[in-house]
Amino acid sequence: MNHNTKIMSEGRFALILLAPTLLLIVGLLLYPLLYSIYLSFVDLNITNPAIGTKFVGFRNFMDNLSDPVFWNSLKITFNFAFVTVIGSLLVGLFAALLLNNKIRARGLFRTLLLIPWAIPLVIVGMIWKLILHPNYGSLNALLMKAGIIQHNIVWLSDANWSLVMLFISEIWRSFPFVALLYLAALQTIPQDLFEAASVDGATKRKAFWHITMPYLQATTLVLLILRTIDAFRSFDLIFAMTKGGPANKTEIVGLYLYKQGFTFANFGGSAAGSYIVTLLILVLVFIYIKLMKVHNIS
Amino acid sequence: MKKLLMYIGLAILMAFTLAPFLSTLTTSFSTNQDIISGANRFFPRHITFANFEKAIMGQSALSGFVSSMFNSLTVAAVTTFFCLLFGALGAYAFARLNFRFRDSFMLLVLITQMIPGIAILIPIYVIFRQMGFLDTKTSIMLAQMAFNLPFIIWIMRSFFYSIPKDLEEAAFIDGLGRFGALFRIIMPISTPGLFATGVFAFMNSWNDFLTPLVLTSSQHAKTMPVAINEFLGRFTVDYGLLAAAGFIGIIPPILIILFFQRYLIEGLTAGAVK
Repeated sequence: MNHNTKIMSEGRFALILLAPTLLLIVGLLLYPLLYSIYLSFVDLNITNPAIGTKFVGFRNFMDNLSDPVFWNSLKITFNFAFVTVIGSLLVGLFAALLLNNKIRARGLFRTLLLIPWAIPLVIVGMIWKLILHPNYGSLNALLMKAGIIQHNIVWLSDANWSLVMLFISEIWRSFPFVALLYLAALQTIPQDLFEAASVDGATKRKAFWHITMPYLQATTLVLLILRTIDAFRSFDLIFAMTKGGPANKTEIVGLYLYKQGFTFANFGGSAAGSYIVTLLILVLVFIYIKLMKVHNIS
Repeated sequence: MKKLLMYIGLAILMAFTLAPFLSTLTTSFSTNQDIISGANRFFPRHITFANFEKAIMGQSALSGFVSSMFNSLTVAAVTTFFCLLFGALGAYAFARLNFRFRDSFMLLVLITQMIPGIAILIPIYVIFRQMGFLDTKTSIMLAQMAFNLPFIIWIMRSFFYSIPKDLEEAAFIDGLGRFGALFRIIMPISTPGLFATGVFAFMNSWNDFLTPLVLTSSQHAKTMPVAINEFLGRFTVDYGLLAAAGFIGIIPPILIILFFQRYLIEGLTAGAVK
């Protein structure tokens, strides 16, 4: 054995390898998050530095919690999460079950399915904004031609339709991810289970509920977690399509926090609010993980 | 009968997936008159390439689009490179070496995946503002790296797990030190894994909107999604031009899907399932 080269200890080597990552994470992740705690307790007066930074205690948190617009944005976020998570799981499952059949050119279909998921959300927003344009958009044109509507609908300026259209476009861009994971899970089911079931005289429907669905349980819970976090963090699509309008009807909490910071220069309020939202997400994830434990899924 | 139902289902699914694209594609190839008169709603009557030409030539209506594309390419390329380099080093440490705090790393990954982007960008904005660091491409790159690295390392770990440990031991016996073993033996055979992660990192950076939105204010550093969003918000919009710009903006992700789909799915499922 050649002992000329001394092998460095594992701990030391790990420190060297991780140094750049640690530097970035400490400097641009942990420090900002700690700094943000400080921010949430002060009034920064960023537009008027002469006044200086003032310690305000819990006022920023109180301001958020007593602001009806904040509560409204939370309500919209919950609605948005509820509808789009369930919607994308259902459409995604439907797509995965279809693509799990023996179809010609299955690979091509799967590729096409990926496109909405892989493009920037701002461009997803642009695409839907063009389609939903009251005068030039193809949705109104289509509905007119079919005789379903007589007047153009201003989808994104209408208090009720705007949220519905956001749901649809969010489901459109997020179901491919769901389909992909479901498809991967479907392909792990041993085929002889179905053969055995049909020998025993079980119907296709019975086989679906007793074989397929239990196999998809773990994937479903993972997807619920990922998609819920996603929905609570969403920003780009809504910013591109409605900017929260009309009259805050589509202002989800990410947008509320952005406006607090960058429209009203209230960085303390924005920092405090984002802690409240992060806490909310943590609680939700905790509930999901508890659910997983109860159902013995890891 | 069963087959027929399946194909009907598939047709509906594909219509839902593709119709929005086709509609926008039609718009991008249409003349303004046809867009406004509605003659071109579903299939282009007069096909024109003028919109694409104007978008690429940086017409005044879309001024800043070309520079935003260059900014996006620069930011995504540099971010991807460093994410891969630092990520590979870090992932190797997590996959192979014993050190303190190793197990708390999972927590860090979870945290970065859970907190809303705005929660981290508000303090970063204030800090960078005080440092006079705003409106630079470097600020976007650094923020994206910090935000993506934990997850990148998370994905990459699994690729290193699959490499047999004997290889390093053989390298040590051959007289290579730890660095030699890593760079001459392990890295070269991890290329497919690195590639998969690279594709993933590039897409994350290319599609990111909030970071450049918060950190930039001029053409000097604005990336493509920010530019598109600005055009979208104007009162008088040239829709054909906008659609054409949008299609140019999604060329990189589309190319990735067409050529590196396998890697993309690998990276994606590695991150989601494990």
